[in-house]
Amino acid sequence: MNQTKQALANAWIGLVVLSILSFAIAASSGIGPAIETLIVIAFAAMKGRIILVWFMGARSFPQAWRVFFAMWLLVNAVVIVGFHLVSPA
Amino acid sequence: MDAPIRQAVESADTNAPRPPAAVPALPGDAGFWTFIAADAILFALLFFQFSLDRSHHAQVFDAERGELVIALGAVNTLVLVTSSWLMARGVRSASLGDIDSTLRWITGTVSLGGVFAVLKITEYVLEIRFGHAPSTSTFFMYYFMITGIHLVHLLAGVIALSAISLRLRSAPNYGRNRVFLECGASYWHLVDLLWMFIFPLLYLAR
Repeated sequence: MNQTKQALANAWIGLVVLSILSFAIAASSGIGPAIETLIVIAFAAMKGRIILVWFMGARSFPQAWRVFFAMWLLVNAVVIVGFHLVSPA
Repeated sequence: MDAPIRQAVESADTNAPRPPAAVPALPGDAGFWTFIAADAILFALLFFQFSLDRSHHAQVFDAERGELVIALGAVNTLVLVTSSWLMARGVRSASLGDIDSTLRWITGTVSLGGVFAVLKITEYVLEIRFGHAPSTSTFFMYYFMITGIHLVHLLAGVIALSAISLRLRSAPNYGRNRVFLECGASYWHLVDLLWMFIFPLLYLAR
């Protein structure tokens, strides 16, 4: 949980950039809703991973907890994207 | 190098005590993480149920999603990730023994938590003025329920961090406050982590 100042700043910049890219992709209408959803949810999972690793210090967690949070991110992303893809347009 | 000397050097190298390897451990109190895991699972179930219901009424959900004030949600995303960064800086300062800086970082975190709450309540007021209430439709029931539960979590985090801040002021010692500080920080990061999925799920995905 105790990262360097630079690592924390980089993590914050990464979160801000991914958030802004998500807003921009959602605001654009050229790539289609399915791809758009896939990208914004993938970005959400990436942001979740950044928070877990750099802010919460997940790399030093016991393995069972690392697996739990990795699965939590993966299952959320797959469930959201999966249901969006199978729903009628 | 003479053989006895070389033997002594090799013996010294192999017998030298090694620095202790980092033992995997959860920040703060391990029991608190059971609560964090339970909360994470609760929200995962809400995301699942929302996605399932949306898959049956995609056009209705997407039309109502268009009624949300996305700009406020977007600003709140930036507010929350910034507050999480400030909290991480606070934990770092505390571990270095700089309690004054820690208090400043926590104050920043709590302030941004307040900004998030004000913007979220503003959004609720606007939605209700637009004629959207929890009873209006399934989408708005989910919107108010998921963001409402998240807002309650955020307010609990603001209260907890304020209490930790008071504790640090009265006893400015990292060792005595480490568990409280790390639990508070982990909880705050969880609130941020949950919002990373809530925002795209409710406001962006279509």
